[in-house]
Amino acid sequence: MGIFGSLFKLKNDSNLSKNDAIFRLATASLNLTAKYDLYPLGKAGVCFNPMDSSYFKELESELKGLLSIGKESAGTQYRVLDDDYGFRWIILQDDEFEDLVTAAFLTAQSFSDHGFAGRLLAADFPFMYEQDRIHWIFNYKRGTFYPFVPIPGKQQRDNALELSLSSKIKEELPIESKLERWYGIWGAPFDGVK
Amino acid sequence: MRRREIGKDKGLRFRMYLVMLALGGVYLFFVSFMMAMGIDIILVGILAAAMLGVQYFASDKLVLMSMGAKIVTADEHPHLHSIVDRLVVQAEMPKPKIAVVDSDVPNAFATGRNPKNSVICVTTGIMNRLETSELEGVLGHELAHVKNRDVMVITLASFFATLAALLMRMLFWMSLFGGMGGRNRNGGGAMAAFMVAYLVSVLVYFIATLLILTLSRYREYAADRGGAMLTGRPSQLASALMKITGSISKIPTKDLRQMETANALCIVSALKGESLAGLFASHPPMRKRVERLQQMEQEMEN
Repeated sequence: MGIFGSLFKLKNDSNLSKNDAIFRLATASLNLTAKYDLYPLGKAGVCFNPMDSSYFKELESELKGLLSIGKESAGTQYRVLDDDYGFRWIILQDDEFEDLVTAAFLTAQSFSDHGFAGRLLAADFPFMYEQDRIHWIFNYKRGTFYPFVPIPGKQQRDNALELSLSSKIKEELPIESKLERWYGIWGAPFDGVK
Repeated sequence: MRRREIGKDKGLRFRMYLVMLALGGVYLFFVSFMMAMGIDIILVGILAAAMLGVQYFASDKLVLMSMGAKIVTADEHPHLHSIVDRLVVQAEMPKPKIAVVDSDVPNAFATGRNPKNSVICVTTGIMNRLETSELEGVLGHELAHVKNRDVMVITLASFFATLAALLMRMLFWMSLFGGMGGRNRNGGGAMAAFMVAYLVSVLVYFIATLLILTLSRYREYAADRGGAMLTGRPSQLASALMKITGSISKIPTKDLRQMETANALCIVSALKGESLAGLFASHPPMRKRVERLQQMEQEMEN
């Protein structure tokens, strides 16, 4: 392995540790529920930008194999759906929140292994808070989370609630410090899965 | 019963007149100095007037073009139009045109030389972030700018500053020529005179700009006041100001997937935020404006 190989490996490793940060949500979710009444919806979504290439198809078929194993061993259901933006979603369903996080982590891992980490957009973990849906969005590229609270029926969001939630949980969860990166994801296809 | 006039702030008015007086003084000094120096100020004055005249009469179109604003009809933005409709009836003024800029940066402005030719413009970012009552506060503020004829006031105030800037440039070039041709003749004295005139122009331009910015800040306070009187709810404008200049303004209102696609097409990353600090240099600090609005709210309670 030459210098380029080691550079490549180094880059891969740092990506790996960033993906790792997703597990922090598994622990933080306990407090979110106990202290702040945020209950996991029992679903999670991994959003990516698909590509027309045989290498990418290879990745997708390997992913399906991986997720099928997860389905048998941990009982994590999954569906693959396309949205209006032309992005593809792997919607995961499991009442064990930790299994959802693990599946989202393993998915990202496969992307990195195949050199497609750049195609990964985000992971979305919806929670219920009274009548509202609160999303914790994980940015794989930066290894950070941020809250997203859409206002039903509009492309608007409840910034006040988002800011207060993020300040409450910032000790336990790596929160994205640059507010200008808190892009929302409206209409993630969670309700497409029964 | 006599209608109670609460819109007036005597202290603010006094300071505004003081600044205008100071500007007048600076300009008077400037013109008489240049005339004493034997510089044909009238010619430069005509040139400056022509430049500003174009700016003045085309201000609405120029500003809209540079901001990428689009005039919208009541069908396209019924909500925006209905708020403005209510406010202009109350303010007894003609309804300005309404324009929208497709930008995530929350901002609003008014332009146009008189109430008849004015345009009020808001960005999509400000519409997405503000509640109806807050948006009403912002639109009230912009309508107050129109009613106070702030475009005209600032244009007039800038006349001599523009003149000074023009003269500055002309003298600079003339001194270069004078310096070259002056070797043969008795050019040393003329050169020195040019230098003095040049330095005075620079000084006048600098002081005038500071005064104009001060005046502009006072007009902002006046528009805050006028807008709040119009809507009757100073706190709504205060809350809007806090929203658009506070941390909330940084949280994007666009979708992640939309951004990802747009970024792929842009050479310079669209994620880089635009700095508003430069734009707001002519505005007073948000904290002070909010304080004054809250004070007004209390006055209205009594």
